[in-house]
Parts: sequence; C-alpha cells; structure tokens
Amino acid sequence: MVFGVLYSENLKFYTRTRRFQVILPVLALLSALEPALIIAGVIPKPSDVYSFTQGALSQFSLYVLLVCAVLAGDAISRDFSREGYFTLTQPIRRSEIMLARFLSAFTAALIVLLVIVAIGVGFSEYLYGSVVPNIVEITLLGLLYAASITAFVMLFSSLSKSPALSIVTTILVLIVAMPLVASIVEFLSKVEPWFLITYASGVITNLAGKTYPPHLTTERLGSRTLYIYSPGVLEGVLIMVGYLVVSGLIAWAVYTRRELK
Amino acid sequence: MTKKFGSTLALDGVGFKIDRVGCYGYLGPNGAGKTTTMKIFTNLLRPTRGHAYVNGVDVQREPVRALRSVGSLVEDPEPYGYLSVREFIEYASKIRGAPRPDIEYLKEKLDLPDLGKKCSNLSKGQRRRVFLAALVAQNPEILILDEPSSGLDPKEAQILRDLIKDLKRERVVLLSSHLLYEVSIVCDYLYFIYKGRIVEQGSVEEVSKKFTSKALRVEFYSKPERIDGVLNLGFEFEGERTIVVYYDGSDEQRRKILDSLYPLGLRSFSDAELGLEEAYRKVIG
Repeated sequence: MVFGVLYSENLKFYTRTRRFQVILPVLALLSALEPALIIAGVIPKPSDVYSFTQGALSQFSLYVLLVCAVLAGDAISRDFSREGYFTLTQPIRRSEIMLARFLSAFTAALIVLLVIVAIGVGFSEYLYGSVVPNIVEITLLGLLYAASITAFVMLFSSLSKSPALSIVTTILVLIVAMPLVASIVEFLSKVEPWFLITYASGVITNLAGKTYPPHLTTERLGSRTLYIYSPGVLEGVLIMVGYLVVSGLIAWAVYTRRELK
Repeated sequence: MTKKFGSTLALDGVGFKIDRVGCYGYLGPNGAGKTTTMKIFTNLLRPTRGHAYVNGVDVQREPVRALRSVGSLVEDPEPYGYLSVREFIEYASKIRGAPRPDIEYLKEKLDLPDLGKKCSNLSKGQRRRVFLAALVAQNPEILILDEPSSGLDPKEAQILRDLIKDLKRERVVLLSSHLLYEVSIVCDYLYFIYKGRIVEQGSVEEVSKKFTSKALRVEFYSKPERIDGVLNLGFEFEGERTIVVYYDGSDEQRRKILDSLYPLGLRSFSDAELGLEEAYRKVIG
C-alpha cells in the first residue's frame, strides 16, 4: 500500500520535472534525425538493416547514460536537501523509499528509451521492411543496462548532498571518465576493462551486427598495436547485473545510515 | 542523550520525559542543541550516546514504529515543489493511511494559499502553513515543531499559535523556540537548554517569572555620572543614556534602585525582559 503510493508519487515527480519534459522530445528528435536525413537523401543509406541498427544503437547507449543520469541523479540526494525533512521523518523504511525511487526513476527512463526504440524500429521497417532478428534481446539488454546505470547513478546520488551536483558528477563519470579509462587500459595496456559498466554496453551494439565480433581484435596505428575488446553477451550481462547489485547495495547502506545534519 | 559532531558536543546528557498531553516548550538560544534534539526524535540524527523513545519505542532501533505517532516540522522543510498545495496535503495523509483530510477546513483554519498553487511557488510563510496543514492532516499523537514561527509575519504567527492551542488539547506538542514570549503564550511547561544541557525546567509561570521580572531598564536625561558609586548591583549600558539593572525581583530592592538613581537624572524606567543569553548568564551564574 505505502510502497504503491511512494512509487506512483515518485513517478509523478519524474514525469513532471522539466528534465523529463525536455529530454523526451529532444532525444526523440535526435534519434529520428539520422533516419530522416537518410530518407531525404542527405546522407547515404546504410547497406543493410544490420549496419543501420548498429549505427542507431551506438547513440542509444549514450542516450541511456544521459537519460538515467539526468533522471535518477537526484533520486537520493534530494532527501538530503530540505525535502528530506518531510520524507525522512515519515514512518516508512528508507529501503522502501529507495526502491520506490529506483523503480520510478527507471520507469521514467524506460518511457524515454522505449520511445527511442519505437522510433528506431519504425524507421527500420520503413527503410528496410524489417528489423534485426535480435531486436527483443537487444531491447531487453538495453533495459538491463538502463537498470544498472540507474543503480550506479543512485550510488552517486546517495553520496552527494546537492541534487545538481550529483547529476553533473554522474554525467562526467559515465560519459567522460569511464570511456577515457577504458581507452587507456584497453588500447594501451591490453587490459580488458571488464570493471567498467560502459564497456558492457558494447553487447547491445554487437548483437545488432550480422556476426558477433571476436573477443579481442588488434589494429595497427603507426608503430603501435591497439587492442580492442568486445564483451561476450554473458560477460556483458554479468557486468550489468554486478553493477546493479553492488551499486544498489552500497547506495542502500549509505542511504539507510546517512544523517540529515 | 549525547550528540557529538566531530569534537563539538551538541548535546551533553539531555534527558526529559513527557507523559501527558499539552504543549512543552524547548527553549534556548541559537546553537543550544534544540534542533539536534528534535532531529534525534525524528530519526534524522542518531545520538552518540543514549536513546530517544517515543511511546516506549526506541526511535533509532525501530524508526517506523516510533515515527508512526509523530508529525514533525524540523528546520525549514520544503513541501514537494512539483505538487500543488492540495496534492501535497492529500499525499501527506495518504502516506500515513490517515482518513481523507478536510482540505477546505484546513484552508480556512490556516489561511492556506490557493489549493491549486504549486508548492514551489509559495513564500516561506505559505510553505510553513501548508506544511502544518499536512501535519494536521496526518493526525499524529505527537507533534514536534522546531522553531515553527521562524519566518512568519505577525498574522501568520498568530494563526500558528491558535493552531497549537487547539492541537495541544489532545496531543503532545514539543515546541522549540528561542523566543521566550512565544513559548510562554502557548506552552504549559518549559525546558531550557543551553550549551547542550537542560539548565532549567518547570511550569511556564515558575520559569518565566525568573526571566522577566528581575531586570529594570532605566533611561536618564543625559549620560549618568558616578553611577558605579551609587549602584552596587550588576548593570549594563544600553547606549549612552540607558542602563539595565539586575536585581532580586523584590519591590524593596526595586524602590531602592529607583531612589538611588533618581538624583542622577532619571527620566523613565520599565521592567526589562532579559534576552535569553542574558537570562541564561543569570541562571547559570
């Protein structure tokens, strides 16, 4: 009963935020832009549905990061602002509040992401008369990725006092720091970046290809050899589940013990 | 309870028990430990040592059970900005499983703003009143109000006082304030907290007497000369021509003071309510 009230109230919060009302149409427009330019003949049409989908999905991973960071970035930190004097003094377990926040932020992100998927599927049908055969697996992995990113974002949110700061920090970590670290360890040190959630997102794009890429490929760049890793599907799933569980547990431990000074 | 923030001792063995309905004032200057106490009772802070109990339930061990009977207004809370006034009050009661509130009654009683107005667009005074309406809608047995009149204009403060007078008939209201005047109007019993310790407690009549009638403010036509030689009691200058004299409260001593100051050019005099800091200095010694 209380959980249902918490969930629906938090979902109302997310869907009423300006963030949600801006990010939904902007990302919908952006995801429709490239197919529209293809139809208009401005850019060449990819040779097959696989190339088209892979191109669209490379942006989709970035959209997942953005949507989850922007929507869930303040999921916990807002309780350590003045709103917390109401929320945290109610006779409700903090674990319940946190779970309701997670599910409502995830649902709000899901609405945005499903709109993007629907646009991609629609254009794929229009341009090629079909969609890639793994579309269900791709979508499910996309949702798992969104859930694990949401949990990771909530971990940052639990450590931060300012809602704005937690949103900016998570965006920087996910979109700048993690890809940078991945590039350094992967390309230069031949270390597989299995510990980075952004690395796991590679499975989503890879599943759309005609053939799944090998685990390790090399490229020559002048005198240097660059190493490029591709996560296997099981490996990608394990990384995502690992981030979901570990981030969720740490965020829960911090949130349930944190004081409002 | 004891509470430390790093090396700062915010509460130093504070303990009290309230076992009947009424309004209990928790009075002290800023930084005395009032809000820290309130936050411990609402599970926003954990005591470093000791326990806070509500209806026999340890707040920190079983917060959900303990907070079921508590409604609180601590610091400067913000009603959810994305909700309208009506939605926030309804949500507050729904979350407690309380009956649907009579919002029109609350609007009239607390002079609430337009019920459709978003909470993010409310002034501080309006926010406080909406928050209080939400507390009333939750119908808790115990109300913990931390400086509830802070930021309210005189009219709003009067609405608040009337509300507290109503509520205390059937509930426990624990009210913190640094205003002696405010607590003496609505409270039945007072606790004085100073530097993290309760230094004085008693009924309003007992305690306020100690704080209000032992000082005399005297104004002179010009700056008085040789006052030290005339007055062998404690006094302080308030500007050039006014002094506050501290005495034992008796009529006899009061007459002696006035008699001795009259030749120095006494223009007017009145009872001086002590500032809390001054009052505490007198109480603590």
